[in-house]
Amino acid sequence: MRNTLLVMIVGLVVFASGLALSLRYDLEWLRVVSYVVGIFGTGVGVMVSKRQRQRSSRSDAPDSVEAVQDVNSRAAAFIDGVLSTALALAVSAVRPGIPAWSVCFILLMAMAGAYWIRRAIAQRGARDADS
Amino acid sequence: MRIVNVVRNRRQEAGITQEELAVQCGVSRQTIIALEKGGYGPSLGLAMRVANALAASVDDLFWLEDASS
Repeated sequence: MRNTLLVMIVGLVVFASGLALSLRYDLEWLRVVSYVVGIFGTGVGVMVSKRQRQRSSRSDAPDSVEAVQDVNSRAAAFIDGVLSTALALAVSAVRPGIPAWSVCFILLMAMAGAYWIRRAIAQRGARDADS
Repeated sequence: MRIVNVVRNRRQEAGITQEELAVQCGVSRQTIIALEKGGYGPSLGLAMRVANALAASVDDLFWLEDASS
């Protein structure tokens, strides 16, 4: 978890620094690089860190409770994703003035949030069972 | 019907820790904790590996119990 936070902080610093420099010196290419390295790089870094943690604790084994919770949470989040996408489509149709990127961003956050909330509920359920 | 087990008792009798049992079964320690608490129904493969690690049969460790009882 500490490594994940470190990766996120480094990513945020790289993103903010790159963006600030690009605005200061009016460098368009640096702005694009900041977005790619900052956001995409952080995402990949978090994923790699998570995989390492899973491998060391064997929580990536198919029979582990974490793997089962992961699959169940993904399945439930898929339904949430479909409903959110339908909602986003309706909002875009009713309010065409809303920028597409903001709708996509909210959609992405909603899907990621749905997964993590469901995962947290499943973890708490397993932890509290019969205790 | 729910699956109940005596994995905790048998593990303690065998004198092995949750981490050691987890390593032998190739799963996380959290899985063994959830299994012992009854919060996780193991797959057939995991049940057989746990039974093997504790030198018992699957029937000795796991059985079905009526939820109303």
